[in-house]
Amino acid sequence: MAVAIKICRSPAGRASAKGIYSSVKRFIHTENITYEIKPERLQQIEKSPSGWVPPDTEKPDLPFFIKRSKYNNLPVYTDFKSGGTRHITIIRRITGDLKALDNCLKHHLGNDVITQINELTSQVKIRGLYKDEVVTLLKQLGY
Amino acid sequence: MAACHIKKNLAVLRQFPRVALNNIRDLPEAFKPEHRKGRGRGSGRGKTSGRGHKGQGQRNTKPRLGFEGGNTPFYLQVPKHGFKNVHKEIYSPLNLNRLQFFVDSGRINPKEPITMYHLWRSGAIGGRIKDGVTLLGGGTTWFQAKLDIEVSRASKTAIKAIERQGGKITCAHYNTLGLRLLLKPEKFEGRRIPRRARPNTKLMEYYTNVENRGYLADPDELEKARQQTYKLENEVD
Repeated sequence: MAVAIKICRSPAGRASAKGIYSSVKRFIHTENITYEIKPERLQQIEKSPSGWVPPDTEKPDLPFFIKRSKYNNLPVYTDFKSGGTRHITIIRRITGDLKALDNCLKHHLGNDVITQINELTSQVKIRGLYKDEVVTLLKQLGY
Repeated sequence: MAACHIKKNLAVLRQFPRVALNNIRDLPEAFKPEHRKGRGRGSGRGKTSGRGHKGQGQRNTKPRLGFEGGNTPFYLQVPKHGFKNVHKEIYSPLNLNRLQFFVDSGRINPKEPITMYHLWRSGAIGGRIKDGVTLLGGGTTWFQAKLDIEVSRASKTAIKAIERQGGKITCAHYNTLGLRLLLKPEKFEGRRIPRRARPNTKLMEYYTNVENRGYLADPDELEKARQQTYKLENEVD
């Protein structure tokens, strides 16, 4: 047990066993979240010739939020690792519940999609190239 | 019972936050100590310092890359081949779909006349503009902006698409100095502003042609051609 505490240098590691539980609670998530897409938002996307739309005036009622980039685009990027053979899609600038976003993505892209959550940098990575799908989904949700 | 402590440790680990770069480090045995050379017989790397006796290995006299021990090397046996034109003019491509995206997201203002300065400053063309910009017809079908735009060259489909929307396009020549004056006007503050150069005889053909919407063509004919394409394109639709 002493070894395990050494590995983790966060305040949780230094606290007593009861303290650990309380700090871990924020990583426990609700399994099922519901989200709906407004028909007005879909119309707005259809009207734009290039598909670009500003974020919705109302904040979407979901446990996570994604901030737009400097030039007002959604922070979804692709990366090619291992000499260009490993394809990754990265979602950046997330605040709030990462697990909820992960569930949302899995519901949309299919359950067999492999995702990775990084709480430290607050990013979600998906194996494979899903940039277009993710961007359209986030746009429809109102981000 | 032997695995009892492992079970306990795993159970505790599960309660911790995820293992991340900020809470892991190397084991102390992960690195080998470096070999200190030439520090006496006892170290095992004294005397020749692990380099052996005499020759190339000791003196670092490796021949140059491609040297084949005195044979005529391969790179001299094969005759020279090919040619690269140093004076080739390089125009940065810009497609209509990218232009439309920049207009939609508010990075280009469609109400004022657009030159290469605006395209470069807004980031529609990344990097350096060497000789100018060509406008190409990618995304012609869903192009909807009404623009007044000036570039170096334009494809026929791009001209059609812009004039279909009632826009205006001209192709204008800029030499290296002219392009610098256009893109970086702040460099010429307090200096005499150079006059604009005319295109050379070879390029003159292109820029006096009405079909290319050249800036040296007859303005009346240009206006006529613009209205004609506007009519034709809208009739078909």
